[in-house]
Amino acid sequence: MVNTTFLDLNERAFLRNPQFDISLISELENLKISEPSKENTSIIKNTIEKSISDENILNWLLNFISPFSEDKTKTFVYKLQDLLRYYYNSSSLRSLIKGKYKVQGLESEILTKIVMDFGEVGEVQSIYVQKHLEEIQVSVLLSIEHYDDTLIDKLLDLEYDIRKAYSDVLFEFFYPPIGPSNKQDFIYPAASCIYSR
Amino acid sequence: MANSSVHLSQARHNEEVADRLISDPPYHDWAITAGFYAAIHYFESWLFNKPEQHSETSRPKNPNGSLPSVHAWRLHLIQQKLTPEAFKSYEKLKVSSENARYLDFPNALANFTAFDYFTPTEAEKLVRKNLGVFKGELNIQ
Repeated sequence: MVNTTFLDLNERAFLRNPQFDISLISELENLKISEPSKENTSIIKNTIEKSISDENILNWLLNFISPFSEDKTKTFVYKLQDLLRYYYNSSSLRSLIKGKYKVQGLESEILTKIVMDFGEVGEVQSIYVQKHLEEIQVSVLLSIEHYDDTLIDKLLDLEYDIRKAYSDVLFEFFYPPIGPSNKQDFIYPAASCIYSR
Repeated sequence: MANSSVHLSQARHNEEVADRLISDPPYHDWAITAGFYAAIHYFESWLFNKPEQHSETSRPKNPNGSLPSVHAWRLHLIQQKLTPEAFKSYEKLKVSSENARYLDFPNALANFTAFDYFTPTEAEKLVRKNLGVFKGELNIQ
């Protein structure tokens, strides 16, 4: 079994494509990782796992960014503004943060399989994932401009195998065609790129 | 919640809409969406006689009370209860209908329309073949 993490996959995608636009949460993770205080990181993890509520989410965010430099704080706030366009209340933001961390711990093997299987298909331009409600949403962006039934058959076979191998996990797969576009930003700002050709 | 016969009537109605749109390009792209919503109701009609009865009400709650989306849970049920061919037929209608509806969304990545992306012939094949396989699996004529 390949032992890798969600962040490792992000980093691999980044290495493949230096223009890769890292998502807010990945940015948040990078900020956290770059902080020197292990104690602070531990407190953050405990807070995320045990005590974030709808009422204290904003205080939690303020506490979270308080040790950061001015530049990092600005980056975080700008990204947060983007995120709040889609996750517009404290409850959904809390779910997003908790859900994201759950994905990191639980699903690295699945994400690796998704990258390995779908990455073999020439028309797959990039793959984005996000945790939404109780499922993992996987968006496989295709470099086609016209519907290709044979290609979709192949992709659905791969999808079925993943679903069968991880039958306790709920998924939603999407296959948006993007044509020859090199555009990397995605309609869901919280989605993370795990593969880019 | 609707019972089996109500779902079946709605499914047949949606399939008739799909049939009409297939033969009326350039609106053939909407036939795929009508076909997908026919498939949903055919499945819900079949599921009504199973222990789950409805996709929506059989969704499992996790300890914090949150639920999966109905679409994701329905797909899970289809994959668990039906053959791989039936799953693929349903999923092909689902993902194609999403592309047919959302290609022109703001911030969408594509630079072409759904009625160009799917030819009338492909739309017809998508709806007729996949709905046929799916209905066959559910023993619906």
